[in-house]
Amino acid sequence: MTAADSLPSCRRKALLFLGLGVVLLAMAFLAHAADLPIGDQYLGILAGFGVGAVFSSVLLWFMPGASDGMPKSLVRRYFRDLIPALAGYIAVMLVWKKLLGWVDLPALRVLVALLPALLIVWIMRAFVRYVSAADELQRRIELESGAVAGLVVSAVYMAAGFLQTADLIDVPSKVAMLWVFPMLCFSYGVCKVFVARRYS
Amino acid sequence: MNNRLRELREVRGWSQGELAEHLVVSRQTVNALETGKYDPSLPLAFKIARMFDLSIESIFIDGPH
Repeated sequence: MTAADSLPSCRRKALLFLGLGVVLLAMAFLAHAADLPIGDQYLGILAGFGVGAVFSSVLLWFMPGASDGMPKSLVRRYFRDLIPALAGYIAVMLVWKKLLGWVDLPALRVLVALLPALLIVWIMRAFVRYVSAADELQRRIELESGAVAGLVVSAVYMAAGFLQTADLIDVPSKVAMLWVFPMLCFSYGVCKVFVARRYS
Repeated sequence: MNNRLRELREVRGWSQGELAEHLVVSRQTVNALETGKYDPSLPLAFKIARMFDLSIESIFIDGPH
């Protein structure tokens, strides 16, 4: 038996995610250092997924019972729902700015601009189906984590709003709005580690 | 709330995973119930009582864990 075999399955998955994240971040870093003509947008997507994978690995490592929290059939269905939505989102983000550049008609621009948001709704639907089918404790963990995450993000945004009003920070509104959902996901992940620990 | 879930499960010779399968919940939920960290909803408490052919009050005992 190797050292990896003796680890709980959630920690083996954590190591897998860590490896994936390090590879993605290394690719982004090397492409940036070598000044490859990839474009900032694609580098950002690569680095974003790298950071996401590393963050997921940390959550999996510290989350008790992450491997036996949900039935495997439910997890498989979640990934079947999630992967096409996520792939669609990545595909759209790769061409989104170009698409926006080609379209002049205001109504059509609205549609193109909202395309990523529609795909985010698809991702949210996968999550809602996942939580709805979970057992009562799992649902409580997910909902408590979501509620605390919502409060944390609201508090952070309100505090930032006061700082910005006082001219102490200067965050562009575009950036602030685009980061609401990723911050909510990040905060939800961190909260879930603490909430899940209360029940294990 | 205290409960006799672990004792009843062990009498039947079931693992937590096996009890979880019978109740259609996760193993983590069975563990949280047994350790008193989570009190079940009324429908789940009835399901557990029916499974062991006992009353809810004889499995779940009111009071701090």
